[in-house]
Amino acid sequence: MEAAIQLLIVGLILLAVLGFVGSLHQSSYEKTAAIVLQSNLVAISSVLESDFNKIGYHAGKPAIQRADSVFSFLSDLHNSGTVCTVQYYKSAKLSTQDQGLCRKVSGENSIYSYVHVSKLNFAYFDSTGIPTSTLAAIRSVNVMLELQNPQLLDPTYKYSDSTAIPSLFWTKTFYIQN
Amino acid sequence: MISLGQVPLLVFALTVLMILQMSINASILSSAVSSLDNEATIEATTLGNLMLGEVKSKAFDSNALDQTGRPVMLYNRSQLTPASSLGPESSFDSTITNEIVPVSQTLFLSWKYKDIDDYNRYVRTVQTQNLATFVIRDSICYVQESNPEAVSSTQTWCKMVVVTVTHPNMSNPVIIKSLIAYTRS
Repeated sequence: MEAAIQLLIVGLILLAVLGFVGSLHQSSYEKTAAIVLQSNLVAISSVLESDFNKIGYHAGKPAIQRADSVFSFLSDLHNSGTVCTVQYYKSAKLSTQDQGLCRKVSGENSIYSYVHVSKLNFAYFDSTGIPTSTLAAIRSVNVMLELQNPQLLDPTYKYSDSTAIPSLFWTKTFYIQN
Repeated sequence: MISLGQVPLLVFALTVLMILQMSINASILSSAVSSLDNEATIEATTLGNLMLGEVKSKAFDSNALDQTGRPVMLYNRSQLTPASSLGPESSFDSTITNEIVPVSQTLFLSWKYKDIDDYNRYVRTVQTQNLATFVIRDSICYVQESNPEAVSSTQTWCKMVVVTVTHPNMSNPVIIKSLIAYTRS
């Protein structure tokens, strides 16, 4: 009898400790995923800003070569006198959910960033701010990028924290200066 | 049976465990709050920069455009809108300065505004998918050309745009300032 009670108490304490450790691990996993998501977004937005601010630099007109779900433009990205074609589009990896961002520069290897892109939208505007698809009339380009928390790609995963953020977005309008 | 001597030890062990669990839970909560603050700050910065880009794409002054919207050259500061009159033109619908829009629609509001002045005291509430509502407030003022930190009560060739973005998750608002100078081109 005495041994049974002692076993019960030890069992309860062990259960509490195990539950505690489990919740610690889950929390740590979710926080790490959130930090990775934030870091990816900041890094990708820096690359986009660096390239898009140079749309048409040292290039003839029209600098924009394609303006739909694929955005393509001419630019002397490295200020070397060589004008290259830069392309951005969303590319699939393993599934339709798990998508990446592709940056393709003529003369260089394509760079695929598999950062769980859930949205990549380009919107094109003329000088009066009205949406346009005429390449020569485009004066500004808005980029909307949304990255998804990779945990969402696992349907068996349940969030411990209902306030956890499933995705983050970044958007910016670039006014073509060159 | 547990001896009387073991009971205090057991109570002590359970208390230590409870305190440890509570302190770790507090730490988890605190890191969750910090993470939400970071996420809101990233999105607030994005929205603030988007607003700043929109303002900067407009004409320097309402008098720098003619009736048809074409640029007009200004050569004297007195031709600019007086500092006390910075704000939307009276012909504007008053509701235009307090818009509530989803983030995907913010792009399509831009055409309503012609010049930088229109954004003075302008408030836009942007609804995002994950973090609900961000409130963006704009303020425009003239600043001294020799000292852009100092507000000028008279017209100058420089305007300061201050975009303030607030969100309940953020401990401090995101404030983005930019100086816009008039150029004749």
